[in-house]
Amino acid sequence: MEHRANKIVTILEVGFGNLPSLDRVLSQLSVGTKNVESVQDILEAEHLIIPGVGSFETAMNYLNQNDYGEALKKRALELKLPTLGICLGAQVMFGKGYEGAVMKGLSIFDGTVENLTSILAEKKSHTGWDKVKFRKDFLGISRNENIDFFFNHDYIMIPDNNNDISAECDFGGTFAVAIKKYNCFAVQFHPEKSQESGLTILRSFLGLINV
Amino acid sequence: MYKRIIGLILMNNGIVCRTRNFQPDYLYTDEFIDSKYFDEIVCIDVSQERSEQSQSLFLTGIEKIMEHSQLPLAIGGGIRSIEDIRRYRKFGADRYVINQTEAESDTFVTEAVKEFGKSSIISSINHWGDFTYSNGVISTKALPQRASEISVNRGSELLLNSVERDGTLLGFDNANAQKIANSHDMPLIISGGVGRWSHVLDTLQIENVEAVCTSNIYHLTTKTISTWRSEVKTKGGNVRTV
Repeated sequence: MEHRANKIVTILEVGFGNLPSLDRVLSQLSVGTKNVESVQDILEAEHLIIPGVGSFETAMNYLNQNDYGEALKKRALELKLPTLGICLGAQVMFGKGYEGAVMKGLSIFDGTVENLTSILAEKKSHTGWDKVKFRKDFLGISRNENIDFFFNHDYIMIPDNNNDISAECDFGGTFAVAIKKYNCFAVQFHPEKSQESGLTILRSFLGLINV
Repeated sequence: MYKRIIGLILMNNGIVCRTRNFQPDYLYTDEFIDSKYFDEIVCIDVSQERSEQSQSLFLTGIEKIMEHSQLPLAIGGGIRSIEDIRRYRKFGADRYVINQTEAESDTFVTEAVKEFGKSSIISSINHWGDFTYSNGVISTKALPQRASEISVNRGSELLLNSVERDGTLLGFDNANAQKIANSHDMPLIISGGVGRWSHVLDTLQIENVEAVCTSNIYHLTTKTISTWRSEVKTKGGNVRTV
């Protein structure tokens, strides 16, 4: 019997996020939410999710103004606590972003975040459902699986180290959509808007299933 | 990237309704709506007179429809200000449909794109055949001309609503979809008139058409869309298996 009704996940919203849709899905999983209010919350949260839609610049300005940057890096790289970045929340984990002003990111992962039109052959937003090819086991999904997820973005994560990449998408060229280091997970897609496959990711991250 | 089948849910004072040529005719209970076979849900408030009460009923209706869903949600109907978008955002909307049939909304779209990002905004144009349609009348403005005017100043996708086809089950207005698709390199969502799966297949095969919508209550409440997906896929359509 699972005792998950009391489970609380901490949320750090960056940019113009979409907290309500994540909240709705977490409540479907009987998981409560609490928002980050201090550096201490970031360092002590059992599970931290960073959702976000908007620009890299706005998101980093917000994190810098609140001195959250160093705490996030410490949480991911030293404390190695479970952290999940979604979309913009994943992108800010990189070294540098080119959306808005060129901006330093959290550098949890080495690499950059750049407009997809300057890297890939496609010249439009990556909006809709796309097939994700998993190279490695990743939050309840096995390597070599191809699974559909929902995306809505114009910028992509470009890791320096190919070994960090857990999954890729093809949109006029392949690019990274799931990246992992220790217990820090970055996903470009939206698990909260991807029906069963998204629920698998969230359940696995929150330890709601044995995988 | 898959092409999408969108469940377009129209609400009149918070009650799901069917429209014919944009006039609400039948009202339905939302009890039976099953959104899971769609790729995305778009909820539009079609209330004739909008008030605080009608908006609150609309939002309660959305909550109910999305209660068990993990699909992306777009909301529209009467969005005229940044404040309207902020209010809708609280209900878990990912994208916002802004009616851009009239030029007066262009400045607002620019502001909205700046504030929320291009990928959060869907521009829409209502049309009757070759002409735009606004405030219950067919205008003298040609649809391609209006599409051309907003080709830069718009959201990430353009929703073309055929009022003429709405509720007829005769099929989408492919002639106009094709015309706009050929002259502008913008991703299109086509709405109005779908009656059978071959309509979906035909329209999704037009280049630049990324999605089609159905607001037919039968399609929203039964396994119709699941069956359509199999048929469309068998005939070479690029849709997701749900």
